[in-house]
Amino acid sequence: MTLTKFAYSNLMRRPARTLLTILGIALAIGTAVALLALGRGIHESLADGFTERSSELLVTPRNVVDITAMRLPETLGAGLAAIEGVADVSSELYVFTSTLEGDHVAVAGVSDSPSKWATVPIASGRRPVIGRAEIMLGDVIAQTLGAKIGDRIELLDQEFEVVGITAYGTALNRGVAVMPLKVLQEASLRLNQVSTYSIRLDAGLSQIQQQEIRKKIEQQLSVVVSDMQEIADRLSGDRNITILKAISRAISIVAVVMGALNLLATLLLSVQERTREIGMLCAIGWNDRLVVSLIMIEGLFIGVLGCAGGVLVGIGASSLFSSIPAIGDIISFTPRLSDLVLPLAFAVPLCIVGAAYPAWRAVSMLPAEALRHV
Amino acid sequence: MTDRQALLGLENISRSFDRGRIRALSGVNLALRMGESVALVGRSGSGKSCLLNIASGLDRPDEGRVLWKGLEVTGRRRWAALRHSSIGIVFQEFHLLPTLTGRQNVELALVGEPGGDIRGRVDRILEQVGLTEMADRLPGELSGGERQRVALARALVREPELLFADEPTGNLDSVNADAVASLMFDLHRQRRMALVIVTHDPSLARQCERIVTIVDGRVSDDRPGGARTA
Ligand SMILES: Nc1ncnc2c1ncn2[C@@H]1O[C@H](COP(=O)(O)OP(=O)(O)OP(=O)(O)O)[C@@H](O)[C@H]1O
Ligand SMILES: [Mg+2]
Repeated sequence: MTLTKFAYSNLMRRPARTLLTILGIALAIGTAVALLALGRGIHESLADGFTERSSELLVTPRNVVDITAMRLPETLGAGLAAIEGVADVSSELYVFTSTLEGDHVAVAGVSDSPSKWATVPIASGRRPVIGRAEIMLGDVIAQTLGAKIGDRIELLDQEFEVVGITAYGTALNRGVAVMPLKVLQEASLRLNQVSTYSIRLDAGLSQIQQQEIRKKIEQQLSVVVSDMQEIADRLSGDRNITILKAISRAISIVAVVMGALNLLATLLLSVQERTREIGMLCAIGWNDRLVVSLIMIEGLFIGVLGCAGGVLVGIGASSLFSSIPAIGDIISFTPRLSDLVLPLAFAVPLCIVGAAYPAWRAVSMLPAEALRHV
Repeated sequence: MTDRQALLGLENISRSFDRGRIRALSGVNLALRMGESVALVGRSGSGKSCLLNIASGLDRPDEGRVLWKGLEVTGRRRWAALRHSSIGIVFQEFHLLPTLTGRQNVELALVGEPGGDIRGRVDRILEQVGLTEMADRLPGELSGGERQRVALARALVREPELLFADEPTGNLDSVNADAVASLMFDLHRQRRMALVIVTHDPSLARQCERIVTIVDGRVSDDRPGGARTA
């Protein structure tokens, strides 16, 4: 009979309670893992999405982080094109709207530049004809809306014919509808306005020259020029996303603490139930260190299995999240090892505390008192 | 008798409960010598169990001190070490773990022991108490006498120099009580192990070399019993 075997046999005396405690910890850790993956997923999906749409530089208004609130005059395009080193300028307008059924749709208006439209990949159908009320849908949003090529959908009080499905790969873009800029400007009452400009610089410029051009644009036109990673960073600074991340983090902490309290409660109860037994162990020659080790091993056993279960729950929940349309349309989830580090770094010390207190309680009584305990 | 070495000494032991309202022991002095057998008798509530608890370090006296081979024993750790190396205890209730087999219950006393011949030691003590056949049964599948023999094996597997037995036969019928008692005396004689038995059974008390009577938390009488001093 080793200490470990004895600890295991103690836990198996109440298998249901042990299992429920393990499950409780697993759920707590799993929640934390999934929520933290969610926060990371938002950021990464934005970066991926923007990179997929254009590998160029993005020109945005200063001091605005919400992409739907970004407004730039259409006249700015000429100014951008006039700057030396700028090879190509295109613009886009982003509008969030909803269908009559209440499904949310992100619509991108793409300027009538052949090079810009060439970056929109086609899975089936064709691109809209400029000037017509035609729309292309990402495959995920098409599925959410239940729309196929040839269907007509109503957006922004206007009917559009679905003429194509885009072949974007990132979750962000698979949830976006695309139409010509002019059509969207009219439909959304934002004539002569765009949200962002994409610019491409002349080929063969050095890093330093590129930086200089960016600086020149920013100074002359009072805008911000960002590459795709920078824009993702800025957009994740959006208040809603920041709040979402803060809430995720707070819930994660609460979840992990609850998991540890769960362990504490279980062990405390089990130590209390076994007070007489612990007195008996003292009577047959066990020292405090052995008793403490026993309880700690029991706690560790529950804690380790709980954490392992939590990792599985977290990964499972992450994939579940992706299949929820409201989330999966925007965010792709790929759980990573790094998502586990933080919750486990929290959970392990908490579990140790959760086991240490009952262990201390177990040896804080005189054996005679413990033996008399009823 | 006098030339036998001192094993355990109780000096002026007092213990009260309930903030002094219940005086369980007042000024008890008692000296145990190596290998000797002592019966502790007295009315219910006279303080016998309390004395045993203090003599084995399971409880602390309010006053007085306990000496082991002439040295005062203080502190939880020291007492645990002493119980580990030299003192065995059995109670009226057997305190066996219901989910462990008889053998496993005995093995509990050896948890943390560095390797060695654990299985052999357990086997030998189980044979001595006559439980070889029943070692793999759960306590629930054993009779009262058999359970007490498991508890006895557990207390003796580390070969203590002193065994405290608090009414070890109190929960047993006379046949089982006799079997357990003679087992204890056999081991006491074979191993030259000192034995202190709390008992209400006069015939059991008479088998000891010494009978100490406790009245109201004091030693009122201390005289030789029926057994010959070795
Ligand atoms: N933890 C305690 N709290 C309060 N009183 C106690 C406690 N332990 C013992 N006592 C009291 O101390 C006195 C001596 O108790 P003890 O258990 O030593 O008696 P005993 O001689 O062993 O009796 P019995 O033969 O019935 O076992 C009793 O009056 C008992 O009620
Ligand atoms: Mg008693």
